[in-house]
Amino acid sequence: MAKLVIIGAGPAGMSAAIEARRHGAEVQVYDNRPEPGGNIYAALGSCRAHRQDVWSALGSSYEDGGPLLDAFLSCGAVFRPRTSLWHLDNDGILALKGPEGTRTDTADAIILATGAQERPMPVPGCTLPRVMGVGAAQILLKTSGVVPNGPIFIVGSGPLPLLYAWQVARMGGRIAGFVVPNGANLRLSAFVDIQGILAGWGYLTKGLAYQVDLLRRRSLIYRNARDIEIIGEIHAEYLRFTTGKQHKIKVGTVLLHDGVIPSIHPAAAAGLPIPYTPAQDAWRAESAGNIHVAGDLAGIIGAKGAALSGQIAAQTALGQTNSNASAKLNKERAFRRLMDAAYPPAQLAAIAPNTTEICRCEMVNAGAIRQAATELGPDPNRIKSTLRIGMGPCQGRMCAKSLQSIVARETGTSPDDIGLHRLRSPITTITLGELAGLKE
Amino acid sequence: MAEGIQFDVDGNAFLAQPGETVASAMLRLQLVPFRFHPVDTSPRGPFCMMGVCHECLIEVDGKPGQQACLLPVVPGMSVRRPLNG
Repeated sequence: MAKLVIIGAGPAGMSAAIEARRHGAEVQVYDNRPEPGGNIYAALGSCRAHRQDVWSALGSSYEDGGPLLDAFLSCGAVFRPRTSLWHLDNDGILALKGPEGTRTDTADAIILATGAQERPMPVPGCTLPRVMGVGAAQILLKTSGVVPNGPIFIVGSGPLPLLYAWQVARMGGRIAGFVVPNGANLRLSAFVDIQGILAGWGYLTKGLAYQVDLLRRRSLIYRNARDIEIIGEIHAEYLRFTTGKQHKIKVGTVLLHDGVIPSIHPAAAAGLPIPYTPAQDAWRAESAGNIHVAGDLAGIIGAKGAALSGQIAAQTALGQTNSNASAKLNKERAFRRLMDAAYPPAQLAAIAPNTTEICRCEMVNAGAIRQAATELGPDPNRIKSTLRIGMGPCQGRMCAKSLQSIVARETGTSPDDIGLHRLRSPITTITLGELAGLKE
Repeated sequence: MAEGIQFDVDGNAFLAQPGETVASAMLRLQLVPFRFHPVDTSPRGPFCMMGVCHECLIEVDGKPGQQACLLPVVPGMSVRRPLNG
């Protein structure tokens, strides 16, 4: 019996597991979270069982994950939660750490379905408590039913802030205002068109789209914002920006969002190809050898597409012929191209003031990166070894993309030509004790 | 919250809901900052809630450097905020 190991239990990983079990494979699924679901379906099981008010407020984009979760839980795959991958060889040897200690595993084939993260949007003051990603706030809602302290201001663009605003309204809360950075396109004015696209593709009902439109009319909207800055002593207190005139607004919480990018770190450390995709302004991973890439990791595709991609990856990994999932996946890709064009990233990193912290772990600011790029050239490895950028606990997950944007602009190099800095195991923090506890 | 899970933060008792992570429970309870940064002592709290940013590192049951956003609250758990870096 073929043995398949799947990293990540979001839509792609769950779907891959279900498909692999259908073909009789032995399946192990690892995820660093306590429950399966990934980001989009985070804490779905416990929310559905214990937080009825939140469950009904989150709407169909969350409820849609229920049948997938149930099929995954009953498919016969072994699920190991709270278990992080810290090493992956390109010949298929894995090292993991979790509640059962540190362990290694091997497989005939591995499916990497590590999903996506929010694209970091560094602005001065973004390291303060009570500043989070919009996706982070949505996970907080899913896991705790919490709408953070008001007044809540969202800085950024993309469809996720609008969905989150709608969910917050259904919890009885309110987004006080949207600050749309200059160069970003929240498409608020053209939002009716976007609603049409979403409705046409079955992502929103017309009625829901209408409600979202009414809702955003109740929030303050500041367009073409520049010089965005978050100010506070111990947590965020004020949001300052200009739109032709100066604004300084008292805030309870600031939520940032500039779209999502693939979580490439484990794939990169395993030596998989990591091409850059200009249309999504992001790196993505490609399959190689017996390591197969699925879901958003292969290029942002969304939950429906990720599930299809997981199914296809399992078929490929087990030498089965691809089903009609491929045709459906192509339809999702076409939809994604529309969304990518409608919501281009603001890329505030490229124009961040010199004092902006880009590397949150080692505290490297935009000015230091610009100076290093001027003196050393665009090679991220030289910049990394000089500034220690990307060498802290997060291993560059929060700064690699921003570093690329800044260096591209500063040196006039194409982002395509600025590779990702070299990544090495362990790809997550691990203590010497955990390392010593490795069971062969 | 009839089915609360008892845990403590800095010696004070709190209740968590089933499925809550340490980070989400502490945000609900308004317990920020989580820590002060070792390089410049700036205050930090959860930012990504998905195991990426490592801003929510906290001491749990005597083990430092735990990612609070990935850890479920379990009965009797003892959390400490390393507030001096």
